[in-house]
Amino acid sequence: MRTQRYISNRSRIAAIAMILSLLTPGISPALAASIPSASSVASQMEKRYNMNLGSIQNMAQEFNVSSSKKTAPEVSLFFSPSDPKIGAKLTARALPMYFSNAQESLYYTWYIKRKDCGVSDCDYNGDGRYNSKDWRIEAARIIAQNGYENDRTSYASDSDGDGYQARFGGDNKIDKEDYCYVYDPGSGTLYELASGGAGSTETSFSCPAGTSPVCMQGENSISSSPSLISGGDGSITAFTETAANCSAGGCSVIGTPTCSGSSVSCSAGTPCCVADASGATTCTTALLACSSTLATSSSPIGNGCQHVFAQPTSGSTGDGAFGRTEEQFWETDPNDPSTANNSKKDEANVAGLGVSEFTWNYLSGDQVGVAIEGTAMMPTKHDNASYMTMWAFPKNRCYPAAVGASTGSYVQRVKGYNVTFPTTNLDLNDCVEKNLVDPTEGGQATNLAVQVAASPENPVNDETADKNGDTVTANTIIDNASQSQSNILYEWSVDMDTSPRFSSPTDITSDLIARGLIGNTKGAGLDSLSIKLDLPATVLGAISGGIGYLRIKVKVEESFEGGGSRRGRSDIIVKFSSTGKRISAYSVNPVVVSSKTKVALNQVICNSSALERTACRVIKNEIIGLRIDPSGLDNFVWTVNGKPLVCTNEKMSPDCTDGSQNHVAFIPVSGNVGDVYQVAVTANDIATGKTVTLSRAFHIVDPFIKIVSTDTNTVWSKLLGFYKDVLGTATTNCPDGLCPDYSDSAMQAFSESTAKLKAEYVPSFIGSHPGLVKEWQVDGEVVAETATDEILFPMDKLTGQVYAVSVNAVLTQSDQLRRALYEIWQISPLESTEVRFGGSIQIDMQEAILAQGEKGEYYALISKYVPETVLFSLRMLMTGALLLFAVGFLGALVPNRTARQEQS
Amino acid sequence: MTKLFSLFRGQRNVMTATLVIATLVIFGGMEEIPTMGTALQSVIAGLVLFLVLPIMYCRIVLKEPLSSIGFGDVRWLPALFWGVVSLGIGGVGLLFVASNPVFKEAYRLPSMVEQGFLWFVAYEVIVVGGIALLYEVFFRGLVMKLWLAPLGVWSVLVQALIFTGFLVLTGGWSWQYVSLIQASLFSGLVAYFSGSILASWVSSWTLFFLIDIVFLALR
Repeated sequence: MRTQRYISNRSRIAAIAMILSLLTPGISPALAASIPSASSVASQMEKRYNMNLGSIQNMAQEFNVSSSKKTAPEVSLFFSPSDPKIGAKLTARALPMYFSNAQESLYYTWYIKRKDCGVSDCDYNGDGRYNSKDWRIEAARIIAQNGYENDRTSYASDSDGDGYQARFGGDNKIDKEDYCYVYDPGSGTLYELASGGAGSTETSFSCPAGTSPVCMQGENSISSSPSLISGGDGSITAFTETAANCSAGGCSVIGTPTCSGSSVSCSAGTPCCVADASGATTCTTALLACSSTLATSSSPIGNGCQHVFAQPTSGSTGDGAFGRTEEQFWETDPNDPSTANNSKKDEANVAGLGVSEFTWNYLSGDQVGVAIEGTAMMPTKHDNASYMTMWAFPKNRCYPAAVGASTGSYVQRVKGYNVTFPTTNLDLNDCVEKNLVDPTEGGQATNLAVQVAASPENPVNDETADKNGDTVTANTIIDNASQSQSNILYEWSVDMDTSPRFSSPTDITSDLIARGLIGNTKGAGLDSLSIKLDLPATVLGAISGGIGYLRIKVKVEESFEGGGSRRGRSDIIVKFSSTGKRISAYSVNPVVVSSKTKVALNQVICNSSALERTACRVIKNEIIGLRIDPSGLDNFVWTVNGKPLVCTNEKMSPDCTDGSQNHVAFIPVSGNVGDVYQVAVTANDIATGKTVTLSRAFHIVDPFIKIVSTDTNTVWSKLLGFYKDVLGTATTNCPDGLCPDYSDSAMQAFSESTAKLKAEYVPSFIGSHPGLVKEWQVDGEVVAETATDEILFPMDKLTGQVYAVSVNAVLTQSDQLRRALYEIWQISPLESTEVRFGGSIQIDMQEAILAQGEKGEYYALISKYVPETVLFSLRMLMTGALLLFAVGFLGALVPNRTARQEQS
Repeated sequence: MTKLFSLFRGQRNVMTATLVIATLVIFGGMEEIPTMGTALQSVIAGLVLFLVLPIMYCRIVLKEPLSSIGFGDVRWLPALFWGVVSLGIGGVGLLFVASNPVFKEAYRLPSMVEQGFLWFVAYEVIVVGGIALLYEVFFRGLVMKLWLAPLGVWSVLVQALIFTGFLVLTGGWSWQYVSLIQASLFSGLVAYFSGSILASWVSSWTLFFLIDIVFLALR
């Protein structure tokens, strides 16, 4: 029987082996011994589904920390107006974000801290302190009263039924489990407000010192033991699987254990204590025990949810009861359910239901804030439909570390698994003080948006003593200033460098001030800065004779009455050229070359004074030659008012070259009086390769003649008076800061002297123009010149009489020049006609006796300052005395008939 | 005629005649200073030439008492008589000339005086009284009493003619002068018969005052 059964079993095994051999005909004995590894399977899956290992790792890494990346509710405060005035209404608007409730369902607990408040006057709840509770009470009163005056209100009874029952997480959260959380923005941990799991019950694992609790897991090993099955045709290999022994090594850390009460468990693997929690392969010490609080239905964790409403001294806000004592405390109308007239009950207003705006009379130093209670968009891990009830504060400073609260955790079994809930015993009231906002601080608004613009485009610095450099003017524009321009403080500074990158800038602000090249650099309303580019070579350094860059920087600040301020800054880089070279202006001569009328440079003009070198004055239909010293320069490009100025040898001038521009150019003055030609020439410095740009302005003017005296002892300009120099600086011409103002058209002279007058032309170069004809007249009579542009004539008129002197001139261009204007620039000869101009003065004859010599000056001064009335009276008295004397003298000559009769 | 010639004979008459003529020529030919007010110049010149000069001449040159130019005792009876006559005839004459629209138009007081009582009082006391004094001292005192005295009662008429001629020659004819000419004639009579220019001053001052009152009321 035993033998039969043995045979039967062997047959059965052999049959199974045969069937397996039929099903796996291609598997060799050697292959049958290997098990596919997890990595090879994963590798095959990666290839099959085109998965990139790096991407998967990246996703997994992000997934690992995704629990720390939460979007907690926030609130932003905006103030209107942004420049609060003391005593005026100021409105703070709260803009909450990341709440799942509508804004009307959120609770806005406003609070206001007054700078000058203390226990004596602002301890509204009578607890002997002026703290955040009082701040909330003041704000809640303002909101609930909305201007209501309760002076004559009787609080003997309360009939309005204006109680309101507040709900955690917002007005619309009905019949739900309440779980309140705070978010730690540093670690990303969401702490549940709990009274039991926090602080007192830290989870701890029984690991030796220097080791950490981990869960470790290793792969099971499979070993083969080949055996021959008798009675068959082949052999079959049997496998033995051995569980991993982490104590012997070969394991890896796969997670952290959890603690339920006192038992340790891992969702996978074995709890261990290891020294290296990340790279351990061997379980050093088995983790067997722990301690934590296990939340169960019989021993739940205390719920730490609490509103941060303003609270009265008796009663509670948001409890649905708003009796007369509370009405009296909040100073609301006990017979009006909505004292604020905003369709919300008084207690709802005290709780801040939907009160997203808070308006009060701003006082200096006021600080405000708001705590918004609502339901976040994040669900809890509890086994119900709950979402997190959270609070948003303006500065997000409401987490355990910010207010010194303790943290801990508890574990709750959810869906058969132990879930750990981090907890904190944080008191939300402590967050209020950490989240005050000053309405005048810059945080609620952006900085000042400042723009700087500078002109002209290619300024030129003048290193010479002429000081004819351009003036660079920088202007600021502030887009978002609350104050007027005159109330904004500007501070300017100027850097200079050889490179526009300003790698090694030099601050030349003080140098510019010391040389008088800029004015004030700091002051209210100073929205522009003018820099006179007359920097000498000593300041320019390596820039001298080349290209430099100025960086004009400005810092602006506007201050508010409350003490805050907003700032902004900006700068602009201005490229300038500095060279001793300048564009010279020339009069021109017409020349005929190969029967073509051309022009050639004649004499230098506009070079007699610094003013002329700065702004050369020219007249219409004149041709002006332009030239710069070509030494060291190449590749000239001339422009006039930004348009190319071309000069060719073939058509225009023998001084020019064909093919490319050289250092000479010509401009026909065809504009109108008042127009300005801005001529610029750009060339390459052969030595440095840098570009050099020079420019010069030509102003079209009406010519005129100024008549001046060549002998100021006999004819001098009339002193009109004195004007005070703005700076009040005493100079040679302005002693004591008072500058004399002389007339150009009125002169004075002594009688019986000779006038020596001279004509000065504006522009000065027309005085030597070959086409100039002029005529002098004195009192309408033609007077011949005694020298070029000069006349002499005797002045024999009496004191008080005047001479009218004039000179009239006619300037006619030569026909050849007019032809050149026509042939080269197509300016019609009808437009280049003669120009008439002139000048005139009046000479008042003065009393020579009173004004001659030092004594004369003294008398003249007396006569000048003694009132005319006194002088006239004196004159009459002297006349009378003289008359009496004359009569008496006459009487002495006439014989006295009475006396003679008496003698006879 | 002999009396007329006698006006230019003798040391005293020659000197007085010279002084009167020279004074009138200087006053009339005085060139105005444009930067100074005309009225102010006239007042200063009048004070010096018509008041100070006659007094100085009388006291210093002639070494005579001021009664020579009328600053003496007043014979009040003739003064009162001729004063009343003067006012009566002057009033009638005033009614006559007042009907002349040209005179009404020409006779003007300063607007400030017309509109303010205090200004009117001050004007009448200081300006009118002062100018009347100047005329009295020079024309009735120096001219009539000192120089034209040999002409007897005709001196009244001659001084009035001299006064009229001086006005017309220096300022041209104006109806406004009618009251002045009338006053010069009657104050000359008062001065002649009372022997004092103080009475004639009061007489002419009163006449001027009445004229101003009447015209102010009529305007």
